[in-house]
Amino acid sequence: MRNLIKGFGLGALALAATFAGPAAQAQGYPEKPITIVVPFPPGGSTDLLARKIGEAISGPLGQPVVVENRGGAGGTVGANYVAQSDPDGYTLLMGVTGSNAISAALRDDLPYSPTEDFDPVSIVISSPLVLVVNSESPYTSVEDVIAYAKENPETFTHGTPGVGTSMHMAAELFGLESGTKLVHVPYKGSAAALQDLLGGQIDSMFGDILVTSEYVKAGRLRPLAVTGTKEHYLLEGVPTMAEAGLTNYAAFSWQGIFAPAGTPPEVLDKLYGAISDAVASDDLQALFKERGFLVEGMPPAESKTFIASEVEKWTKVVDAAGLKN
Amino acid sequence: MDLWHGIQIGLQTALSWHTLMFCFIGVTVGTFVGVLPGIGALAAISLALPLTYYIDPTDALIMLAGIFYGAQYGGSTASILLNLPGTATAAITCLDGYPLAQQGKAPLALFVTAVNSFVGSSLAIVLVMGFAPVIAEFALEFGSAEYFAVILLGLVAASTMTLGSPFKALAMVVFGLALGQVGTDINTGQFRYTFGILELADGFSLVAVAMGLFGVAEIIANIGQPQGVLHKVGKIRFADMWPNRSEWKQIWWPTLRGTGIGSFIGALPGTGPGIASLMAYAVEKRISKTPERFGNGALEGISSPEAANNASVQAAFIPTLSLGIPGDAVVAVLLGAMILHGITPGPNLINDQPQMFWGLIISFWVGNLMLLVLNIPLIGLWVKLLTIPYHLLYPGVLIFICLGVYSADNNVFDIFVVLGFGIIGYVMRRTGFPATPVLLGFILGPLLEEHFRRAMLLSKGNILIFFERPISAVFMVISLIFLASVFLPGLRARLSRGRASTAD
Amino acid sequence: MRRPMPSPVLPVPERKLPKPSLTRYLPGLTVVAFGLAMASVAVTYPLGSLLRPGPGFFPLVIALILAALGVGVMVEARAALPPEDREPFAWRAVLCTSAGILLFAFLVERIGYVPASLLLIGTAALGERDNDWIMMAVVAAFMAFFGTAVFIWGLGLPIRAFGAS
Repeated sequence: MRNLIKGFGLGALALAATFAGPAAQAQGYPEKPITIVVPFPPGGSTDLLARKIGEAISGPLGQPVVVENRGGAGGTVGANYVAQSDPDGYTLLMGVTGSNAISAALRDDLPYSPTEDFDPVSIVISSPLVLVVNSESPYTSVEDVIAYAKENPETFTHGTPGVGTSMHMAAELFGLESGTKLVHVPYKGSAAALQDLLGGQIDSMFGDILVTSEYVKAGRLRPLAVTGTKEHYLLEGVPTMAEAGLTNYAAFSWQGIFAPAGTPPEVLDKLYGAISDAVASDDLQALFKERGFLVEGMPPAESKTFIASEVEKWTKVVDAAGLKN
Repeated sequence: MDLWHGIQIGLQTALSWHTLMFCFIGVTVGTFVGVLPGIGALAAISLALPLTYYIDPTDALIMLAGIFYGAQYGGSTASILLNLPGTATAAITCLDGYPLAQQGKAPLALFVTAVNSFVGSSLAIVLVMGFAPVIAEFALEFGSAEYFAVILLGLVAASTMTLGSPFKALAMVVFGLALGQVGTDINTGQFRYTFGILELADGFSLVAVAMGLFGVAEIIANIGQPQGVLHKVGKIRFADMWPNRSEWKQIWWPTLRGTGIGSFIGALPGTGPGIASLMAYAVEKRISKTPERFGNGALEGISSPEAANNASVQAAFIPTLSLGIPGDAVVAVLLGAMILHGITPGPNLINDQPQMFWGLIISFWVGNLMLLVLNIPLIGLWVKLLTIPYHLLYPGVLIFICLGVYSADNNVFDIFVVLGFGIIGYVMRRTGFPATPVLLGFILGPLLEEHFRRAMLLSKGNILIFFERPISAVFMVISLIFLASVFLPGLRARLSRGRASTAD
Repeated sequence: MRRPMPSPVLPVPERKLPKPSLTRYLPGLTVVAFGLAMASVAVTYPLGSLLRPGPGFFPLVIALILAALGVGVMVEARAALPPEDREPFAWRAVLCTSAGILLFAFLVERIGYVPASLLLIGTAALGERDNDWIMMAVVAAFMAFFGTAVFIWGLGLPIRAFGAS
C-alpha cells in the first residue's frame, strides 16, 4: 500500500527528472546529502561497513552521507525500498548476497529484480564461510563427512540461520558437488544454530569465519574446510573445499553498494571513485582484516556481471535442490 | 582467575568516573524509554548503538546494557498508571497494576515494582557472577525437545490464568497463536498469510501488536468518557509508597519465586523476559489461596512478574558472556555491539576480556542501585502525570505509539499494524474477549511450532522423543500435572453447574 | 468486524428469558468465520504429517481449534445472562483516532514530523465532544518540540521535523 502511494509520488518526480535530463543532473552531483540504506537493523556487519564507507566517502564527495536502517524479510524490504527510489544517486543500498542474488533465485513473488532494478556501484568485500563440526564429533575431514553422508543418506545434519541464507546455499552446493543428501535444519539466526552445534544437537554448520574462529580457538569446534578459493588468514592450515576434494566448489557471501537502475553512469563512476579510494585507505583495510573480509572493490561494470553470475549460480542450486517457493 | 580477583577488576573498571557516567546515562535513558509507551528497549538500543561506535567498548556496552535493564524498571510505569503497556512484560504488570492505581494505590504499586525489580536483578546478578559458565553449559543440554517442553509448560500454565469466560479466553490464546503464524515459515521459507506484503514476511511486530491491543484500544475506550477517580491525586507522601507489614509479607515469597523463574528462563537462549513474566504470574495465581484477587489489584500479581522480568534480563547475560550465544533479541544487539568494537564474543570472553566481563557485571550492580535511587523519587513525578486530563494526554500518547513502532524498522507499515490491532482490541473489549491471552499465544506459538518441528526433524519423526530425553520428560510431566490440576476440578465444577442451570 | 449497536432502544420483553438475538452470537460467529477463513488459506500450503509437519500443518490445526472454540463461545452466549446496558459503540472515537493515525502514517515521511503530528493531534482531538482548543494547542506545541528533540535529534530517526525525508 505504502509502495503504491510512494509510486505515485515517485512517478511525478521521475517525470520531472526526465525533463531535466539525467546528464544535467549528474554534473553537480552530489548537491545534497546521500543516504545509504542498510536493509538490516543496526549492529550487524553490513551496518558497520555501510557506516565506515559512508564516513570515508563523505569528505571527498563534499556531502554528508547518512545511513538509514530499514530492516525486514532478510534484507528484501530495504532492497525493495531502494529499488523504487529515484535513480539519482542520492539513495543507495548496502546490498548482500541474500537481498541481491539468492532471493531472486528463491522467490517468484519478489517485488524487485536484483539484476534489472539495480545498477551496482561496487561489490566491496566478500567473505568465505567455513564448514565446522563439534570438536567431540568423529569427523576430522571433508572426506569423513562425505563418506558418512553417502552411507547414511539424509542423516547428517547441518544448521543454518534460515532458508535462502548464504550458509544454506553453501550447504546445498556442497550436497550437489559431493553427491550427498544432508538434512537441513533451519534456525532463526545463526546464534541459535551455533548453540545447537555446541550442544551436539546438530552435526555441522557452514558458519561465519570470524565468529566460528573464536570457538575453534577455544577448542569447541573443528573446522573442516573453508568455502573460498584460497586459505583464509583467520583459519590458517584449514584447506579449501577444492583442496579437500570438491574441485568445483566455491561459495562466498559478499556485500556491495547498489544504486537504483537508471542512475546516470557519471554518478556511478563518481561514487565508485570515492568508494575505491576509501577501500584502499588504511582505516578500512584494518577493519576488513579484523573482520575476516576479503577486499573486492569491483568497478560498476564488473559488479554487474558478477551479480548476474551469482544469480545464475544460485538459481541452479535452488532448482537442483527443489527449494523454490 | 578467582571470583574475588574478578570483583576487584570489575570494581576498578566500573567505578571509574567515565564508566559511572555512561552507566548513569544508560539507566536514565532506559528508564525514560521504558516509561514512554511504544518505544521499547530493543528499538532504543538499536538506535543508540551507532552513537557508541566512537567510545570505549566497555563503556559502550555498559551504557547499552543500562538502557536494557533500565527500560525494565520504567516499563511498568505507564502500565500501572495508564494501562498502556509497551511490551509483553508490561502487559502482565497491567493486569494487577492498573487496578491498584484505580484504587488510589499507584505510589505503592510503583514503589513495589521498583523494589522488586531491584531484588530480582540483584539476585540474578549473583548467579551470573558465581555460576555463569556452569549454567551456560547446562543450557546447552537444551535441544529443541527440551525447549518445546518448557514452552508448552509456559503455554499451559499461562492459558489457565485468564479471567472471565474460559471459552473466550481460550479462543483468544488460539487467536494469538494464529497471529503468530503470519510470516516466513522457518523450515521451508514459505511465506504464510503475507498476502504479497513484504513487510509481513517477518510477521507482525510484537510491539505493534501489544501497543495496538492495549494502548490504542485503551485510548479509544477512554475518549469521550467521564474522567474517573484516577485524577484525584494529592501530594505523595513516603507513607503512600511504603508497604505496611502485611503487604511486605504478601510480596516476600512471590518476589523470590519470580526471581527464580526469571533467572531460569533468562538463562535459556531464545526465550526472553515476556515469557518469564507470564510464567511467574501464572504460577503465582496458581498457587495462591485467593486466586480471585488476581486481576483486581493483587500485589503478588505485580511483584512476582516484575522480579521475574528483571531477573531474566540479567540472566540473559549468562549465555551471552560465557558462550557468545545471545539470550534474547536485545542481548543479540549488544553482542553485535561487541563485534563492532572488535571483540568477538565466544567461550573465551571471560578469560580474554576480564576487564570487560567483570566491569560489566559490577556495573549491573551499580546501575541497579542507581535505578532504585532514580526511580523512587520519580514516582511522585509520574503519579502527577495522572493529574493531566486524559483528553490532553492521549494525543501525545498516540504520537509516541506511532513513532515508537515506526522506529523499530523505520517503516510506516507498523503504524498501520498498530492501528489495525487497536481497532480489533477495542472491539474485543466491547465483546468481552480478553487481550492478554492473545499476546501470550502470539509470543509462545511460533516458538512452540519451531521447536516441535525441529525436534521432529532431528529425531526423524519420533514423537516419543519428548519423553525419552530426561529434561524434556520432566517438563512434559509437569505440564500434564498442571493440566490435570486445572481441568479436573474445573470440569467437575462446570459439569455440576451445567446440570444446575439446565435444571433451572 | 462490525457490531450492531446494542439494543437499549429495543423494547425488551420483561421477565421472560431474553430472545436469543443474532447480536449475542455475533462474537462467536466472527471467531468461527475467522478460523474457517484461516483454514481455507492453510490448505493451500503443503501440509505434511504430524511427524513431519509442513508449513500448512500448524496453521490448519490452529484454525480448526479456533473455529471450534468459536462454537464454544456461541454456546456460552446462549446460556449467559443478557448483556447489561452499556454505552454505545464509540464510533466517533474509533473514526477520529483511525483518521489521525492514518494521516500521520501517510504524511510523516512526506511533510515532516511537526506538521504530521499537528494533524494527528487535531484529528484525534475531534474524538472529544467539547475540547479546550487552547490547551490542545499547547499540547501540540509541546509534542512538536519534545518529539523532535527525543526522536529526531536524540534517537536519530530518519524523518525530518519539516519536509520530506
